Amino acid sequence: MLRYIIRRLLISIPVLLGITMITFAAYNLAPGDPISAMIDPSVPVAPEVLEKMKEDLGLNKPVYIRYLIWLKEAARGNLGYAYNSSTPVLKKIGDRLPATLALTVSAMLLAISLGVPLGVYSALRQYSALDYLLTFFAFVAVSIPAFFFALGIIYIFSVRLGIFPVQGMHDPDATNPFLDFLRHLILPATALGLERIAGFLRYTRSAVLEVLGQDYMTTARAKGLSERVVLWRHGFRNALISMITILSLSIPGLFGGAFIIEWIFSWPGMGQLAVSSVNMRDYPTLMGIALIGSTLVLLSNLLADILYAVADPRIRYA
Amino acid sequence: MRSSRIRFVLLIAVIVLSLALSACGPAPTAAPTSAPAQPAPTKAAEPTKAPEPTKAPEPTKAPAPTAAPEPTKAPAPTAAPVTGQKILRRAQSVIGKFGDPFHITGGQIDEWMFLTMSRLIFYDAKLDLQPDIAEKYTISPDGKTYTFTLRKGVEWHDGKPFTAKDVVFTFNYICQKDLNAMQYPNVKVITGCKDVNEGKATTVSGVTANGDYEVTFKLDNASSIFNHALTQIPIVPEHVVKDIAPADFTKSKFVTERWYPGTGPFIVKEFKGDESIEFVANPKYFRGAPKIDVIRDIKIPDANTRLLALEKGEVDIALGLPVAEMDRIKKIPGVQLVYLDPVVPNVLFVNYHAGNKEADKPEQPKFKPMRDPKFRQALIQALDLDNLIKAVDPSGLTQKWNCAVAPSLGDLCPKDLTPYPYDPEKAKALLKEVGWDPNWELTFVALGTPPTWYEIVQQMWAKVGVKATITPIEFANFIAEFYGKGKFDVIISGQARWVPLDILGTVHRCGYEYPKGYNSTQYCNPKFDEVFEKAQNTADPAVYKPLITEMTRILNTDLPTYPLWIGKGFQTMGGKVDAATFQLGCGYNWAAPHTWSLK
Repeated sequence: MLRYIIRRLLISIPVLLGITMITFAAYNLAPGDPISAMIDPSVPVAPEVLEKMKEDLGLNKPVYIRYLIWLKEAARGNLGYAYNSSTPVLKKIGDRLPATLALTVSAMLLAISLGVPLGVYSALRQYSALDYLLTFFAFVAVSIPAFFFALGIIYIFSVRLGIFPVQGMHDPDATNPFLDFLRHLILPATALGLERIAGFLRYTRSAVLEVLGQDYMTTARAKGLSERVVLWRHGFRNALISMITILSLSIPGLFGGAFIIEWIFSWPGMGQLAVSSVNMRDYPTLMGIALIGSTLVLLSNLLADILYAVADPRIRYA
Repeated sequence: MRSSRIRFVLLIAVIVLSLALSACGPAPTAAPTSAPAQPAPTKAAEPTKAPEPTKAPEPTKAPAPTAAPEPTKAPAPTAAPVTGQKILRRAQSVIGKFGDPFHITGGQIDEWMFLTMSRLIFYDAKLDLQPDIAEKYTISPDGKTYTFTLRKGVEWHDGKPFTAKDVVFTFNYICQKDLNAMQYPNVKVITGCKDVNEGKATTVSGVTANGDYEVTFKLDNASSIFNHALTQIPIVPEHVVKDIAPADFTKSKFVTERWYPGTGPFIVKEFKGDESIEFVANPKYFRGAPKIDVIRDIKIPDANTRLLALEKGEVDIALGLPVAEMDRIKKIPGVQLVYLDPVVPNVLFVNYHAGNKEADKPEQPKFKPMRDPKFRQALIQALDLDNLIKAVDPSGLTQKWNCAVAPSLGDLCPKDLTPYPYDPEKAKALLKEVGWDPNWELTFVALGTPPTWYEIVQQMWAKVGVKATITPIEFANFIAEFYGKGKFDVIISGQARWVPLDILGTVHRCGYEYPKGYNSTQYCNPKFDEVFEKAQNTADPAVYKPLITEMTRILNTDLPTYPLWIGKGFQTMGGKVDAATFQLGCGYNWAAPHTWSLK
């Protein structure tokens, strides 16, 4: 297993290299430039100053040279400096990554903790009133646009009921910062997790239904095992394989969804940083985000493969 | 079997725990350095910061920030806000970069800058110059010598005395080539500034201190633009900035963290890039201690969320709310709408295609009539502005405007400007006169996403026989495409018109196409240039103001650019804010922040 993990990690290096090449080319060949994005279009700035700014940022060099410089420095652990703040990209991302992880992991935990049990329950009570109700909920949840749902819950739970704050990750004047953080987290995590709750519910339901009809379930029951053991040891564990796939596939989507939710809730994470950086054509920050994001996705895929082996004894990696 | 189940449960537990822990704040492991970690933030709920990168050189050029000399250690201005403090919370759509005082690139940085720093003089709301950190100033009759008497007893935020040496240092610093100061083009008129910039001298001979509280500037020639430059230059502390090489200034901690120390009414307490900035009051401010203890600007990028935050009372001022929400805003209990004088008209620009740009080649048949003022007049008279304005802004805050400078400078606009009213028949006749072929198409460029009213304009022009194809150019691309290549026939875009000489010159002078200036239409009228030169080479408002008026007349006749309408700005304040204490400054900025107060 260890050799497999090491091999997968080594394979990831050229994959990452390819990703950085494509993203660097895409960012730099797209129309627009950071200097134009930095200035107010309604207030002209002396052109000689703009030219010097361009030179200072190294934007007068050909794209491939800029990529090679970036790659060389990235290999040494230096992702460069954000154009618009002159702060190191690693620091910028480092400041934002925990916020995004807190949000996405919370949303994922919420989705798993609600979606999976409800999915199992729905499968066990197929065609019951509750099954129909949960199915209806799932369709509604995947259909509501995230921004609409987010604004709706802000209006109801923050403005009208006053239970949660409207935006941000913390109140600087809060007396209990941890509880304050949790209060700020609940609405965005719910907004981000909603679609995933529905997804997990539906996938779990169909995976469990499929397993319930298998011969080994009948065999287990014939052996006299209790229904709880049949269900959880033989049924749920086999259903886990497809759920692990869904889990790993949903991680990139979770990061993507966080962009919108972070924007609406003013959550200071990577999503907001990415949107601002796109608007500002902040290439070094965008490259940093692409690199870290791709790494996380590759790692989550690797994690899924490891979990396959754990969940299914038939899967062994040489 | 059992051990495998235990391993499975343990593995799941470890994964969940590690994810949960990562959410609670440890730094990511990606940081590739053994450099010491940053100090933990003061708020427990906030994620800890990543370790500082090492001194690895920047990919593109400049020295790493760690290499730049650090300003003197700043004492924390105050402790965390305590109960009873007056805190003004403002929601901004962006928290931009913490700018370089010598590379000011926008209104927000301007405002922050002058919350913390002072300049010699500033514009009031009527564009009259007022002394700031200077107590008074005189200009010699020939306009070539400025003498400033500085306020006595002013202290930098770190307690060091402010003197004339700081002013002399600032202007010597700004003339350095390696600094690449945005204000340099307007101060190079100081005797000796160009020599320093070109490496022919080490000090600017035209700036001298006469004792601790008087500074004299000698200019090569009189310049009204020099006045404007002085309003844009914050005086920096010599005792801190002298240790920062001009080439390193932008990345020095003085710039990237706090602009500390300044002499302004507030001190930056904390700046979190792209997230928030907090200022605390400077009780020793030379005009009197501020009435607000803390100003906290936070980024709420979504306009709907900004409005909801204001409605709930989480913020006291919400900036940049859409005009379309005006009716809803008015109904929110306790919310006050404060209207601002308009300074950015929406201007019609028509390209002359004079032959200097990539888009001018090859010559097209449509270019010839486009160079005729009658064609421009036709485009203007084809627009039913009354109805168009209703579509642009149903709130009624927008008005027609046809003068080349902003209404707040109303006395510069002559009463006899030609109005060019809506008259489609006249427009058709003019088009026929200039030989316009209705099959020709105009490239109607929009900066960013075309506003919905662009289609209304398109239809109005179509009715008189002018086809216009709407072509968006991204903001981040407009310099290259719009100014650089001249890829447009017409555009309607906002342009700040509150510093008339600066803007009118760069937009309309002969040969001032990008990169020399921003004459996007390639307009050229030697008469305009002549009047401009006269206005530029005087420091006497009594001389240059009538000349500005003359320029507005010329532009109203030639129509290279034509303001169509101008919208009032507004700010939305919560009930806690004492709106009456907010004095309007020049442009959209509020003046005298030390007078702002909360109820």
